[in-house]
Amino acid sequence: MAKNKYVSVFLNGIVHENPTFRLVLGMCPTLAVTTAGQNGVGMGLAATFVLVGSNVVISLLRKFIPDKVRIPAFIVVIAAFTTMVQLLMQAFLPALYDALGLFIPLIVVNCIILARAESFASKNPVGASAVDGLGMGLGFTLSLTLISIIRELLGAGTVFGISLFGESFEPAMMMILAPGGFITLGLVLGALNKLTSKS
Amino acid sequence: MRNVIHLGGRLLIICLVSGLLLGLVYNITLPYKEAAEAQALQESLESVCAGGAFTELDIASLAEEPGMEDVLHLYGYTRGEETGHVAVVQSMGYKGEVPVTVALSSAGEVIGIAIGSHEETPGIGDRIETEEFTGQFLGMVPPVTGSAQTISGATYSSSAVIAAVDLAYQAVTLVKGA
Amino acid sequence: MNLHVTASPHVHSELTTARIMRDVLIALAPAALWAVVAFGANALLLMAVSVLAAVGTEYAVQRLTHRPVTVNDLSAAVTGLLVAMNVPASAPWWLVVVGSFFAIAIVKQCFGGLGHNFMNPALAARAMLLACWPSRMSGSAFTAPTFWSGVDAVSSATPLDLLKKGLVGDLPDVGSLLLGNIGGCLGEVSAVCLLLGLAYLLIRRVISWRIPVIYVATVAVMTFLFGGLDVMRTGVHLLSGGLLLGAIFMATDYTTSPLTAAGQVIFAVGCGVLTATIRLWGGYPEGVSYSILLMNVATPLIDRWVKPHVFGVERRRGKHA
Repeated sequence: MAKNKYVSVFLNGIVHENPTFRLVLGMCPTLAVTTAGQNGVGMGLAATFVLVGSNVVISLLRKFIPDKVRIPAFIVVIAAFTTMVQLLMQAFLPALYDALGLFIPLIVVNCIILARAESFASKNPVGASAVDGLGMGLGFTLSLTLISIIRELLGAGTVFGISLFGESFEPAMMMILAPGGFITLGLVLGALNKLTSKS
Repeated sequence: MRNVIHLGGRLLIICLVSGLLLGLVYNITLPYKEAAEAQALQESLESVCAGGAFTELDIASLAEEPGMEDVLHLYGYTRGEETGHVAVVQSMGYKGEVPVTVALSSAGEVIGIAIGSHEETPGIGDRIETEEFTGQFLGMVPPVTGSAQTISGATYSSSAVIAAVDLAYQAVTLVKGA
Repeated sequence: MNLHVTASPHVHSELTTARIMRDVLIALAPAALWAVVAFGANALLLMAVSVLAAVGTEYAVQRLTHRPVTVNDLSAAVTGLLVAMNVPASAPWWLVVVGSFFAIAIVKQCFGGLGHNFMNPALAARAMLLACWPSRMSGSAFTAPTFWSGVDAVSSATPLDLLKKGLVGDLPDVGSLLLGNIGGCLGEVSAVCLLLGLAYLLIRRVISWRIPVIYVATVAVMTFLFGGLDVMRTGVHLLSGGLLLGAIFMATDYTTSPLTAAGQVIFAVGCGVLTATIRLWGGYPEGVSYSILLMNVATPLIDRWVKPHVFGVERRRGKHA
């Protein structure tokens, strides 16, 4: 495949079809784990690992998986990679594992992964699928990180754990709770739409 | 029928291979995981009793006593000349169980207390983690219900911790008496 | 000269948004005055800063989005004043600035401006401030009135706090409750001042009696039946907390309450049931803001359900043959 085709597939996942702000997929982890910068990055990278892995495997097996049972087959592959991520995190990153908690196994049902498996990996060769997974995963990670930084800054006064304001700053607690997640996501989505609209 | 075998067969192969791979990863990561868990446990015990050597006690018989189901772990500690116990208990707060680790000296005095991960209301209930609140228990001899101060506005959360301290004391008393 | 072309009938009404909003401001004046008298200079500061922030936000947002600037209709000023009325006297100035900004920029303008908000902006701001800074908006943030005596304000439990904890003996007497010599948010303490405002609004026909009266009556009935059949207790419930402020000034907001009389009755009963339920059995001592917000969200449903009878059209009874 031509190199610039790979580049365009990669950039697609980060900008044009950004899973959070354009495809509006994977909302559940987006809202739930973006309470701190490192949680957003951690979840994004974990999802990227699963995405790349499952895209590659599903692409390799695309002739082997019968069309009628493709969804169960995809789910098994995705679940296997998710479990792998969970085991690896428990062993090597226990603090992140505790912070993300329930949302690691929920990567299995993260719509982004199944959507890319269905719409890209099952119809494209391995190289492109891997790049697509990487692009989408990094796009997801960047969005999560952006939202996390905003929420953590306003809701706890820190960025990646580093306190930016002094003692007298009283953070807006709501930002790290559910309403803050929805409001931040909505406002960022609106702002990005406005910035990228031609009219 | 042949179709079903064809479909089912392929799915079976995918599942088998996935399962095998996962088993492999599990075995590779198991020692690391156990080491991380032991490390976390040691750290939490150290936080209530620095420099102690801990031995876990069997609480199977204790768990059958009424009210003792919320005692999660019990350890004996030795630190130089002194001995005592560390109890890891949980108590129902405002939103869920609050795990509390309490270290009690052999004289029955609270020498260390740490609050585990909980779901109490941020900004209000989570003030139970502050030094201001936990510090009051140090030096107290349980039972502390009635003499320990609750946090105004966070009654349920602070009562949970107070109840936990008393539960730890009861558990240790039962074990010492047994 | 602006020439408007419209079809007949040509009916001229003096009723403009500004007129209505001005009446609301006048109606709020007694309560605002009492707040300053009782709680001192900070109350005045909070109200001024809040109104400025609200008006400023509306101006800025409308300019930035190239829409006509409507601050002259005074609706932002009313929202700003109501935000200030909903915070304790000990609140820092930035609290009401953030609250007013949120109320105008996000709850009102993001959704389309005047007439398009789906919940009461001032109450939404109160809920947001409570979620963000609970220690500034509840519990020990409330102080007893100092009446400009120069003494430091002392944090005191509000009557609803006392009711929630069961400390009935410490409740203030009826006189204090009526006049406003109690702890609470700036605008909610003085029942007498708020009722004066209600009278003014009713005389000027800005609001209908339905929502305030039925809302308060429902709370009265529920707290009486389930509060131990104690008239005094019920009286305390009616005169404390944000009930009168909410029932008179916030539940009656045109945009977020039903259009029809029957709809308004349902709305008022709903608010009353929710408020009483939260106060009696919920985890919070005060339930007014959440009740009104929830009923705001239900208003489109109520409007759809209670379709008004169109003049001249026969009402369908049962299935036609």
